[in-house]
Amino acid sequence: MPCKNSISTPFKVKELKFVINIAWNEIIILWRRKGFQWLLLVLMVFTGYAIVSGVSRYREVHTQREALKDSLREMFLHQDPKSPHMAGHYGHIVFKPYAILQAIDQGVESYTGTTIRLEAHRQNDAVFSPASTQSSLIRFGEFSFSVLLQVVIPLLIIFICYGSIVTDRKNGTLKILLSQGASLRKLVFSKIVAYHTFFTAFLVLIIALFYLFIGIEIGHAALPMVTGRLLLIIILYSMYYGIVIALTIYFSAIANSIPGLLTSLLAIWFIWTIILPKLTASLGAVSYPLITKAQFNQELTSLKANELNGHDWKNEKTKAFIDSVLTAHRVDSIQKLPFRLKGLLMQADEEVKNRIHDKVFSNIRDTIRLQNNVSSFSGIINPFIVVKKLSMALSSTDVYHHFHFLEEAESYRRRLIKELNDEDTHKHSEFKDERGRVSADFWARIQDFEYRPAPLPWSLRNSKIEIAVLFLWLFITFGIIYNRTPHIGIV
Amino acid sequence: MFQAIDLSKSYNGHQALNNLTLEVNKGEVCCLLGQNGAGKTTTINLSLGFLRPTSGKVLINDIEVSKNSTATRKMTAYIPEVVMLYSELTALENLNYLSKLAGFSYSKEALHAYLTEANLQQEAHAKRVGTFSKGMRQKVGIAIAISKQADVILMDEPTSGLDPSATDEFSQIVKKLAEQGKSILIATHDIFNAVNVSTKIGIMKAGKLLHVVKSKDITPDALQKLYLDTI
Repeated sequence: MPCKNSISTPFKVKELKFVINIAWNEIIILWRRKGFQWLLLVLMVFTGYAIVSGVSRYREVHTQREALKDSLREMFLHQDPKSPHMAGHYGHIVFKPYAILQAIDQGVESYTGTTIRLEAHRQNDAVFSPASTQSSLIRFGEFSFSVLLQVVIPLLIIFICYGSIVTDRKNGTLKILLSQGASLRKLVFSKIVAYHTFFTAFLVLIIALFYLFIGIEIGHAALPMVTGRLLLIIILYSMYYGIVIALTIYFSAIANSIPGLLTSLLAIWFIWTIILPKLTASLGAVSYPLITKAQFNQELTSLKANELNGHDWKNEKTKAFIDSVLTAHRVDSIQKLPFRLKGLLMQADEEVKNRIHDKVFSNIRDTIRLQNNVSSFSGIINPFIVVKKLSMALSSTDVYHHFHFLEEAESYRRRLIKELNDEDTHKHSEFKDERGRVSADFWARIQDFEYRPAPLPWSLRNSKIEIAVLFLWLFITFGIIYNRTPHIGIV
Repeated sequence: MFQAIDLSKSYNGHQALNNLTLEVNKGEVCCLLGQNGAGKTTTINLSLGFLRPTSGKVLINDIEVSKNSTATRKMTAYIPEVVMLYSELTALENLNYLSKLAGFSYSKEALHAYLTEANLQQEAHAKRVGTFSKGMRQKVGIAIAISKQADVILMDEPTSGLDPSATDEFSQIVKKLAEQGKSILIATHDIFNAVNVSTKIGIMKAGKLLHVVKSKDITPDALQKLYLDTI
């Protein structure tokens, strides 16, 4: 009989060939499984829908916001002449740009405001969240790319992989495989490699299609902004699928009952995906409660009450400030100052209020961070939550990215108000008319708000706990499988 | 060569196998007869290293199974009662896959030759195993065992559910394998086939091997009587 025995092959190559043989066989079986190709087709249709709807929505909202931004800039540039102080009260409106990767993961974007009116003396909230303008159905969740990646594919993994070893055990094929020389450990790892290769290939394919679609629909200029993030999204989901596949196959190896196994795996999926995220969010909110809007306003008012008030010249601290300015310039009256005191006073008032706002708002952010940490640490028992949070972070749609936008907008507001107050301070300026009103040339000097999204390293820095927990899951999952599989009974 | 020496196995206080000693030399076919629970399958599972003996040992070519099952499995082929295999793969693909697991890489012609040697019709070679009858699956199982070129072949109820013609075909193949020098151990309920195919027969009851007789020294009727008296 013509035969080529591979006994002389080096050990590692032989092991690799062994794994590839089992994995390749498993992929062929999967491909030929009844209904699988239809299932794949349905999945591709859903994926196509998620990609097209996500990118189309980006294009629509982006175009809308850019048009509004341009029109508001026009209004800003061509506003009627007015005093800088009055202009500060009129303020300016800025929009949060729609991130391209919102097409992958909406994150908190549906619930956070997109529009901020920037004005002197106060920090307004971002308003008009997408959820506020849609039906209550959005609360049940839209079908999006993230739902596909986080919910549908893991469910599909369970349905495809759960029988991978328990079926072989039940029909006696496992004994033949093992008698042929495969160890259960090698078998389990080879099957993990097979299914992981398949699902990662699918993941790469759909992300590549998404990338291509961005290039076609939005333009190649958009691609460099998302390349790194998309690569990390592939790695993230590939790791998650690796965990889900490994656990499903391990449970399949230790199970004795096929229906019991499926029920258990579906229960785990349900607890991970539906129950625990809601439970930990509630736990975070109960453990670290946020102050209400009324309490927030009350705190601001009480802190401001004892501080300098630019609009109240009888205020002790305002008087003290004026005296200090007069002393510094060695004059005995406001009129003798070489500049307009009002502008300087308004800037001082602004800085006092900024400091108070920063203090109160940083307390709120700290509380939100603590709430988030509760759910991040819950990732120790639920890898889904860390994947969900990392997915939002990589898509620039988590709460920290929203804070980043708020900080950038606030920083722009402060620069704008300072420019106005500085202009107000000048007794004479090339931009002012005889009534102290600034002209169009002045407005043209002020750069428009251009939000620069947080860079990737910044996003990763905010997700250190999630990254650590995800690697811990990988390490523990594969460690358990490696060590426990040889102890699983065959008969 | 197969040897079981004082082999015992107990689970949770139940003695499944009690001091079994048995030898199957090259070219011998040994059939183990006995009711369900007699310890036949336990003997096979211990011989494959799927179970660890409570005491005693199984040697395959003088290597102890429980100490080096990786090595002994290389020398052992196994045919279960029902050879399910992968219904999505053809007979040829199943054979190719399983022989590769055993460390053999065969040409397509060689794979066809093994399937033919196992009496599987040529036109069935490229058909998916999912469409096969039990007898056809059994033939693929035999082809897998032959292709492994193992010295010892262990079979667990291989003719259960086969029609008389398929059983006869199976017996011919077993005899041929024995002629090639294989040591063959068969756990079976089939007394008449046991007499037909084996060189020696063991009768087991409640984990004990109570009788070992040479097939040439006993008629089917006498064996049946001995069997019925024993169980």
